[in-house]
Amino acid sequence: MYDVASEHSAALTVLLLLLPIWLAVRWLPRYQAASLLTRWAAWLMLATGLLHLALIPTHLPAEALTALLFLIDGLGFLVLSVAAFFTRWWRPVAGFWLSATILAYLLWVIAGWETPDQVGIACKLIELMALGLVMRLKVHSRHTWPRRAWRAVALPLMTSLTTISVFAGGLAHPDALHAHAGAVLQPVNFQATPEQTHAAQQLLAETRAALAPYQDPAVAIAAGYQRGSQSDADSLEHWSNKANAGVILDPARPQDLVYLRTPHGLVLTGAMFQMPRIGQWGPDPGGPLTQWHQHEGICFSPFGLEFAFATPFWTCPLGSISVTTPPMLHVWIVANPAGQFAADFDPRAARQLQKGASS
Amino acid sequence: MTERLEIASVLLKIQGTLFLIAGLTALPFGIVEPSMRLEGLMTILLAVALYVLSRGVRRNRRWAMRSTKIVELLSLLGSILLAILPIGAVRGPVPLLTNILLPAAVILLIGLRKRKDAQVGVGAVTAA
Repeated sequence: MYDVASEHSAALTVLLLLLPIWLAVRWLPRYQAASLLTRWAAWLMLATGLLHLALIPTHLPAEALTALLFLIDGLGFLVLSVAAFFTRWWRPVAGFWLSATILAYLLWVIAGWETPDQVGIACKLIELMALGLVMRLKVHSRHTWPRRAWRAVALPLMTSLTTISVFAGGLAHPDALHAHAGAVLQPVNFQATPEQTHAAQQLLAETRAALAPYQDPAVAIAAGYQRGSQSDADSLEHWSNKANAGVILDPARPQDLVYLRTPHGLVLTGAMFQMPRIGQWGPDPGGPLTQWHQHEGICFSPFGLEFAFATPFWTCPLGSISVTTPPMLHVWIVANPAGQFAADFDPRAARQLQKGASS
Repeated sequence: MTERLEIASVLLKIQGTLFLIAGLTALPFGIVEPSMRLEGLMTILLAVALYVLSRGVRRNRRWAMRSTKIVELLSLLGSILLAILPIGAVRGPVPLLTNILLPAAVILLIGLRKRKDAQVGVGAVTAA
């Protein structure tokens, strides 16, 4: 669900600067005299500061305010990472600066001004670690129990707030490349050209014609399709044909057939085409009409073949594994209000088909 | 020496919270997916265990150190194995930080503490 935004990925290379900086400062007496907690906090603040500064050029043309805030934030972190070795006042200021940065990001995400991506989320994780370390730097004179209790719960609370807010923001404001939770869409042009509309219709017609014999599941079995996992949570079933694994968008040889379970047997609803490798987008003759999607950060449970969403920090429940699927394109041969090439089959259409089959 | 444990304790607390959220997130899926219910609850229990370990590590408890190493080693090995498989389990900086670097850092911090202890011990014997 959370990929690395293309305009953010270059910023990650700035972290390579940390190595020469470390080689330069590790011999300095001030650095050697500092506590390990201080050093770790300083490095983490330096890392997030550099990342913020590296994000400025890509944000400046369209989001000047965000770029200005990145500049202030990045410089603040750089100053604090140096001040940690020379001053006494840096600790409360760093606590405030880190908290304010995290909360500001959450505000931006919830308001929909920023789409959460992996670079932003990684920055928050680094800042949470730095905040935790800054909070652990002891102030011996003030060890009253409310302070100790606050020190124990503040970090988990902040981490929870961050995770939940990024989750909520991402789901409430999906951008053009996130059609639904857990899926990343192929980048395409916004409006289909007449040629693309024609090509999409042709693909639908060819798929409908090719799939006609498979209305009978016995024919699908004879052709090499095997029934996939079945879940009570989803009445759609994917039947896969391993012999078609390397085929690319051939209506006569789709990788999967998608059947709907109804009280009176299986109803063929469409086909699913899948590319051989993760990140390899397929040909989209219909442009935005035939947009491929790739499921990322899905927690797959081998016990009962069930799914859940990974958290923004890419953690799954115990026993589940995080998986990313190669890009896929569905072609629905029955009416789907979500679209004939939509990533999902509309539940209302499924219910109607089930009613129709039972009546 | 105790500062290493202090840092490890902070990392464990963050890791515990991440697991807590993962467990809570799985519970709504558990309404229709029975195994997610169990996995969610197990994950919440793991999160509680990590909080307890975080406290134990900070207080330099031997049992906490040993248990943390086992948990983190299993977590790290599992993540590396999944990263090698072509299933896209570790894609991008966030899973790398959360699933590989975080447990590796905790193992190193606790492991280095022991090595430093041993060095101090050898130094003391030589001096004597």
